[in-house]
Amino acid sequence: MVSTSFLARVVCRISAGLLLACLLILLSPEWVHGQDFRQGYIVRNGNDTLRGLIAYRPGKKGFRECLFKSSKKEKSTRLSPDAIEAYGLTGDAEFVSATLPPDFHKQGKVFIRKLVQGPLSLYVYRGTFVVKKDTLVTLPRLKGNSIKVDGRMVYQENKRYVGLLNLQLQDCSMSANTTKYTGKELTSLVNNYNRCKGQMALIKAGNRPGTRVDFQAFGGFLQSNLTVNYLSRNTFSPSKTVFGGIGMDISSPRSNDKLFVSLEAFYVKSTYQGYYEAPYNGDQMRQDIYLNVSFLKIPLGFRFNFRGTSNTPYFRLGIAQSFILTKSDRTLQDRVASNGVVQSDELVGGYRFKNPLGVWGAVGYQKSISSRIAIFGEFRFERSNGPVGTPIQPFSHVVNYNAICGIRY
Amino acid sequence: MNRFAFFCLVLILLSCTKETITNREYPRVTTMEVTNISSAQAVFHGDLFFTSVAVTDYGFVWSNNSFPEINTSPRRSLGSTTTAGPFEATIQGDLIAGKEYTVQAYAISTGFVVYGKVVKFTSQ
Repeated sequence: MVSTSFLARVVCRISAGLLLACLLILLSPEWVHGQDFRQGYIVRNGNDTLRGLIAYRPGKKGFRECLFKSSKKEKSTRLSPDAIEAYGLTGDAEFVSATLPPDFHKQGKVFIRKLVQGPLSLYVYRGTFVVKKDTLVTLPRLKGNSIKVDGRMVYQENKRYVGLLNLQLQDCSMSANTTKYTGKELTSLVNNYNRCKGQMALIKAGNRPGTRVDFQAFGGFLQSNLTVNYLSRNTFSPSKTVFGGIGMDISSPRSNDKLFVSLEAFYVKSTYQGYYEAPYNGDQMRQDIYLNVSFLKIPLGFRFNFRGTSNTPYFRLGIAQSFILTKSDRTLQDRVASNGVVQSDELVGGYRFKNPLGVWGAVGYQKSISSRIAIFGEFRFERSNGPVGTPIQPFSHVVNYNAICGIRY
Repeated sequence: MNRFAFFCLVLILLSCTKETITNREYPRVTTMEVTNISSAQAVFHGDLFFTSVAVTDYGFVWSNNSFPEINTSPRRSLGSTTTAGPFEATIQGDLIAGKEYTVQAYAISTGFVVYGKVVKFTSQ
């Protein structure tokens, strides 16, 4: 039951953390003071290009309109697909204004993202691919449904896009039969077709990887405050220690280059020293309690960068599971009688240990020092059940304050 | 800047928590394992910790039944001291072979008689 209540507390704290994360996202500079503007350009209807700042907006908004301003101080202008020919982020995605084929059932112009430009061009609109030779042709999304054949349910896949692509590719005797409905495979196929037609395809920058893994090594200082539930709050003085570890951040730059899933592992050794005094059968009992625990700590969470650039403040939230590697406890006990006789004793093994689980949050700043390497500094707060307890009853809880610095590459 | 970073690093490393014995208004003493046990002798070991109290007497008491007591049990006094740290005493001729003994280090200061933990051994 106690374990259940602890889980409830952890869930409550995670929920609170997520709520805080949402608030932080909502209150992040881009949301308070505007969008995340990055270097880019627009192509006006007269085909002249104007450089300036374009709002980076992963998701469907980028297909609907473009937010542009010519300098940082200026107010942004909303540009519809009717107002400009195209817009793009420097070294990143380019969107062109187009009227979608009728099977989209969409009136008027929209922005579609250019993936490949050449004799055969490839675009994508909100997950649906479109090719253009003379006119835009929709490649319908892969659909699957179950149908009844001879009284049995059979799964049928609709691969209409393969036939439509084969029509486009037939003058090069190419086939799309084995091509999957993904940006990577379609880009490769269209590129090969353009090569066959004797023209190197222009593959647009911004075909960013679907998955990216950044590694990090870090070290830091940890102050850990242990409270054992049945002892007074200030029984233990804080454990102060240095630690080191490694980690990785997994992101999907194609969909969002500011959100990362973080996984870390680090070694930390904590020494908690406490003092407890209480009357006992007419004597005074005094205890010095020593708990030495070393952990392998595995924090899992996500990181949100406030800016899309390499130099950015960020915050992180997650849960952390610690695994006890070594543990020892020792109590030096003095029983002081009223006549001044003191009987000392040493007790070993009086505490039971368990692997702590907790939640954590952090704020930090990352600064790039080269194209591949960035350094970071971070302050982290963690609250978990303590290492002292039983598998079913957490006797203690821990509040940790970490100052961390490290390198990401 | 580099000096400041170095200073911070040293400060952090020095602030790392290590086990320390808390000071009391009486000396703290612990009894350690008995060594060199034979029919003729045994070597008792103890450790003394104090900072601001005067230790007027310290040493060992032992007994072959239950808890030794400073006034009634055999004891080996090492006198007064102003130095904390480990100490030992060799007991010769006072042990009966094959008997189980209990030994405790002790320290006396004004108003207190402090006994270390009980250590048992059997003479040979």
